[in-house]
Amino acid sequence: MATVLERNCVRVSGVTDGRPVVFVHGFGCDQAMWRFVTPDFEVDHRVVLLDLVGSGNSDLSAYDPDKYSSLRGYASDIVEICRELGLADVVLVGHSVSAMIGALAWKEAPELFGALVMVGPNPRYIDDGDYVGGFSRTDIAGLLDALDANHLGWSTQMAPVIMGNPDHPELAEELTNSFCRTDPDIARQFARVTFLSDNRADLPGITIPVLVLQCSEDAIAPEVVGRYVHECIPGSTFTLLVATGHVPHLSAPEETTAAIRAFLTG
Amino acid sequence: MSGTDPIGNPGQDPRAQLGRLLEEDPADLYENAPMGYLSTLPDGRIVKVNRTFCAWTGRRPGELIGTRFQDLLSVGGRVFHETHLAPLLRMQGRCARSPSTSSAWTARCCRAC
Repeated sequence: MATVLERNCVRVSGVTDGRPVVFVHGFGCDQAMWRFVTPDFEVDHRVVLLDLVGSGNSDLSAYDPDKYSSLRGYASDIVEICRELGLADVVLVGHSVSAMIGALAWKEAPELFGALVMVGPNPRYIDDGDYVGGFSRTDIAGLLDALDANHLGWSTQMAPVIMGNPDHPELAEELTNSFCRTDPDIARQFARVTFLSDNRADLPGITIPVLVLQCSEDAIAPEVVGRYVHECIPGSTFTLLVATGHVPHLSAPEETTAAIRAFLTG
Repeated sequence: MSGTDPIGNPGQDPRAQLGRLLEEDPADLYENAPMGYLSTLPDGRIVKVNRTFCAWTGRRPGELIGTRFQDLLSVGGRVFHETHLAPLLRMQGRCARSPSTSSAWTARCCRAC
């Protein structure tokens, strides 16, 4: 049986006695997403990267549909990893759905964590009464139906079939995505768990320092949602980035790094 | 001289016809390619688009230039764009999609653009 660290393809780098920063990717990608921000933190932090089970190079055989039918399954993996590595005062940086997974990990083992950084958080994607999540119920139903029918072709594994030239694997390489490979069956359930989640009630109880890092023009986590998260968590810090889109650590790594550092030293 | 052209039409000099085929205008190939071409800035704003894409979306180039590509997509497509396509373009400069559907595509982007 794979160890906890093998299961989540955990990679540790940086300064051994530095403050640990655990980066957790969101739906759709893997730890490669942090590649432009980790070099900066490796200088004076202990950097921990991982792939959520079902994503990237995690152990797919460890995927248990029951365990991962809720974000708590992913949160308990993060707690296990931190314990296995003997970490304390952890800065947990979670992107997108993993901002909420981070909140749940803190809830499960508050003694492990010293700060949470929520990059593009959305505690509930579906609008609900006065609450704006950015998506209607019909939007999300359509998204999940499209995934079930594979209309969006979210599997990236089959690209080499196009090339069909075993003597020249580099041609297939050109058409295969090197990062963020996703098992389509797991991606379907992860999408369901992600986009139907509602973690609003988990926010007010958080008592450690929290940074809400909000992009401009984010279609997955609109600014109004980031401000909602900020208002729900007493004493949290809200930083609006100039960066647009949903993945500032890829599109604006310097701005992202500076904002996290300012929060940690402030 | 009469004959049959490369696609079987009578009354054309086949060599002249073939010559015209081989000298196709690259701009025409771009504009009327059997696929939509578009170039965007890293934030998705369209800066160049071919006629085929305009025909598919029923919009004129002037309406598309400056629009964000992701704003043309369905909700599912937009989520796919933000969680898969855009990150992959940032990391590897290209993104390949499964050929499991008939409309397989690839996308490329220059990080410097």
